[in-house]
Amino acid sequence: MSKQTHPERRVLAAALVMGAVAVFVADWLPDAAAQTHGRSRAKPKPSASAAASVSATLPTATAQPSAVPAPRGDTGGDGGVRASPLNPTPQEMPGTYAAAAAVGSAPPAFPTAEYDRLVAEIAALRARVADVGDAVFVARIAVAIETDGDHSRIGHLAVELDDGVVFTAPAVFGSPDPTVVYERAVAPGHHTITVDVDRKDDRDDTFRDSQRTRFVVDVPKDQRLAVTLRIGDASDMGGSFPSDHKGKYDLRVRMNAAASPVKR
Amino acid sequence: MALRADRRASGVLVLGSALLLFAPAVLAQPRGAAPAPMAPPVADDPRATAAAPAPSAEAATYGDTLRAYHAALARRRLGSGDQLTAEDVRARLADVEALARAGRTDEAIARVMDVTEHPRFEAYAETDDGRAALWQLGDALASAGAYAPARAYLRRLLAQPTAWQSPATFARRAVRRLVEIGMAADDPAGAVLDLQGVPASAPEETRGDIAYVTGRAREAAGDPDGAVAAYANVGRSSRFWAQATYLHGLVLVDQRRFKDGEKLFCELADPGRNDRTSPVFGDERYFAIRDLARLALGRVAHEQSRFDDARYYYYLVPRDSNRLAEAVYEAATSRYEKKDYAGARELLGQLDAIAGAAGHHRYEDEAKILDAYVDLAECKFEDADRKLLAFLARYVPVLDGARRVADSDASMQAVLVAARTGSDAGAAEIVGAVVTADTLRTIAALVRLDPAYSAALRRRAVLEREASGLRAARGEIDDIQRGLAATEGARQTTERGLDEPTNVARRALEGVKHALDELEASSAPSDRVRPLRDQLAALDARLSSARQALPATVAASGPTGDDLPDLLRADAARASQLGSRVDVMRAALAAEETRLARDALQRVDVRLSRLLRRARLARIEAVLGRKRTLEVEIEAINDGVIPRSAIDSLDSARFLLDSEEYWPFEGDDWPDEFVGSEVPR
Repeated sequence: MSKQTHPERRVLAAALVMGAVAVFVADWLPDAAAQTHGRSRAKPKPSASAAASVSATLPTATAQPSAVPAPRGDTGGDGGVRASPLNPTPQEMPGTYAAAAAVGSAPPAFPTAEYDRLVAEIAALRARVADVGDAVFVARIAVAIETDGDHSRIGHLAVELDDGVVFTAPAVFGSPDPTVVYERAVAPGHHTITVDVDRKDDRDDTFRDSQRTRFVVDVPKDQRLAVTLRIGDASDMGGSFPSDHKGKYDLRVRMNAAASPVKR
Repeated sequence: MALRADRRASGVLVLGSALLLFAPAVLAQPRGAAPAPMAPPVADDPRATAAAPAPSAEAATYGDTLRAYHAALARRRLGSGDQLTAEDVRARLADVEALARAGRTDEAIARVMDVTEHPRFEAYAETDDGRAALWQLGDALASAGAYAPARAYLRRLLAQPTAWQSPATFARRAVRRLVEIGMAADDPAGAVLDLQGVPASAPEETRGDIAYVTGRAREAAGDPDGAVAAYANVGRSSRFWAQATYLHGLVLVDQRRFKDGEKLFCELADPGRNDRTSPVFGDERYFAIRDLARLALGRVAHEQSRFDDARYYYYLVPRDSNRLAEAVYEAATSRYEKKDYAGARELLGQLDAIAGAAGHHRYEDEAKILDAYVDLAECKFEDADRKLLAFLARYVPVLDGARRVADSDASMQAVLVAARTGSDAGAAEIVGAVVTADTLRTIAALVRLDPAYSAALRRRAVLEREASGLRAARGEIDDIQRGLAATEGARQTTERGLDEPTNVARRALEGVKHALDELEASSAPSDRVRPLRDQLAALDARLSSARQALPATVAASGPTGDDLPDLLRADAARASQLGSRVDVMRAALAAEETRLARDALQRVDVRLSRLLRRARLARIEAVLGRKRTLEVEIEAINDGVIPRSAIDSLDSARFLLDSEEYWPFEGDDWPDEFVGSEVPR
């Protein structure tokens, strides 16, 4: 019974396989033809291996040798020569693609010398203005920062005095005790202190909030105004919201100020 | 061999560029290395042939105006006048050191510059305190990113005739800082020029620093032989010994002197070396270089088809290294090339574990393709095809997402900042496109950032900080001018500001614009309004150019007098001019960042396109493999050999459930027991 059906199955199987291959090759051949890197290296040759593998399970089979060339011989190392099909192209390396792509139209180089000169001039101007300010003004302002919060992690913290940033916190910043971060002579009168803070929860840093708070202070003549900024955080979004879908953000920036006569 | 050479070269490039990020390693135990001659300037650097700048004169340019201020303040009996004692210098230095330790760099610069530009500072310049002040100023300026004045002040210190008299503490520190500045500014050739005057009798660690920076400069100038000679002079007691040895090895490998390069890498990669036996004090940077050296050894062995050696070297990269994914992936590739498919699969499993712990790793796409190729090599064509289909389903959207992200500058920056800082890219804000959070995370994991991109970001951070300080300085100048005017009881013309006339014009233009808006809103004929609009735009352009020209004119003329108001007026104008230049520089930096970001995403595009093409080609191979298997099977059947699958299909027992029992036919039947049509004929 089975012997009678074998020729039919064989023909059917062969026809199915050839049909599938024809459809598949027609579908993917344009992609294959379009690829630009070619097949310059030896890459896996499944046909040869397939023949070997099937022959192993069919010891009496008399399969024709594969049309695909056999792997090259050893080149002196301790193993085979099957190069990885995944070797990257030089264009994938930093700095090379742009250079290759911009043949004849290289982007203008960044003016490094001009940049250095500009930064140098600004730094020198700032230093001498600060120096003159110290000489001219007696009144001073000192800004201290104190942070609080069990699960609060400060991502970004900047303090501005009037129009300029006077302190930027380092990457990991915490100050359980008041720490002076800025002290300078200023003109007596009104000044604004702005605190820009981003915080995130150390239990789940997808929960984060930002706050920008602005305080106006009055620096009395011939006095030192000590400003203490307290950044407190009682948020529990990262702790409780994922479990019970309830939580709160509670970030507060408070300020204390106290003036005292300048010691001459 | 060509492709492998490409890969090695590209690996070298990545490793080399990664090393640019390394700051100095650490100090070392002294060893009796031969003294190295001081390196001459880099031959290919055009600056080498130029006359070296006069250090004192150059540094003075940064302090000229400040000295004029000091004189003006002294005339008004403000400030410290001409009083500066050694105790003052020492006390001010203590303040400055405390400020620098607390990270209050701007305050430190202002405080110490007040001393170094004081009229009487020259009397103390060659004392220990004077040198300390100069060094402190150079250090603080470098920390703030103002490299040009930092180098000028440090050169001024080194140019002192007695700078190198024993113990030469601050001269040695100045050399160290200049070398670090050269590395941070990616200008080693400039550092070599700065250090030309260092005597050959300088201490060994100083000579090591100079040899290292000379090697870097020669390498950058395309002189590998000069670089090799310079790196060879970096002794084991130098804090740059590890970096120099590694780079030395890379140059040798690049010259295909594999044995020599390997020998150098082995010095670093020795697993027996630890913080007790190492000649350098191991810190995180030393260990990072050690891991790089092990990867380099693996690549050299791989290049020479010594796959077992390569496996061993890759294995040496420890599990806590951030190069682990790279090492495991390279090891899997080497096992594949050795046809050790079981070994390759085991390593790919380790990579999956790394991905499971970290979410993504930078080789995840290539590892998936390699996995499918291992299946192909083992003739598991169906498994390979399934994996390749899954790869295509996953990474076609990623490629599409990368292209959408590249359409918007803001989106590009958001994803690249996440890739650079390691923050969650899924939370990046993407403008005008729908890209899933997981796709964004995958893009961030796959993107290879150019070190130049990080340098551009650092420059922007410095520029923004200085621009912010400049705004504050302008406000402070206004305050000082008002204070002086109030004191003198006379209203200064500067109080109204140089911008007063232009502000009047600006307000007038705003009024005209408002009137035109009202006209348009009341349905006035557009052919009559349009010429007015054109005239308004022309006037607006003329006013803008006039505003830009005004401060430049005033600043170019410099201080017209040497009194305090004159100096302040000149600085106010200069600040306005600097503000305009900041805007121009900000635009140039933004363009540079965008170019580099687009380049990084283009490289992701190239890489994913290659892998997707490779996956499609591999699918063809999988189908061809299945076809070939069937052909062999059919040929075998034709020859009378029934394949195992066919034999199995005739085995009735396989169709039974567990609860059923099979009683095979044993050849005994009784036809007389059948009735009717059931009787077989």
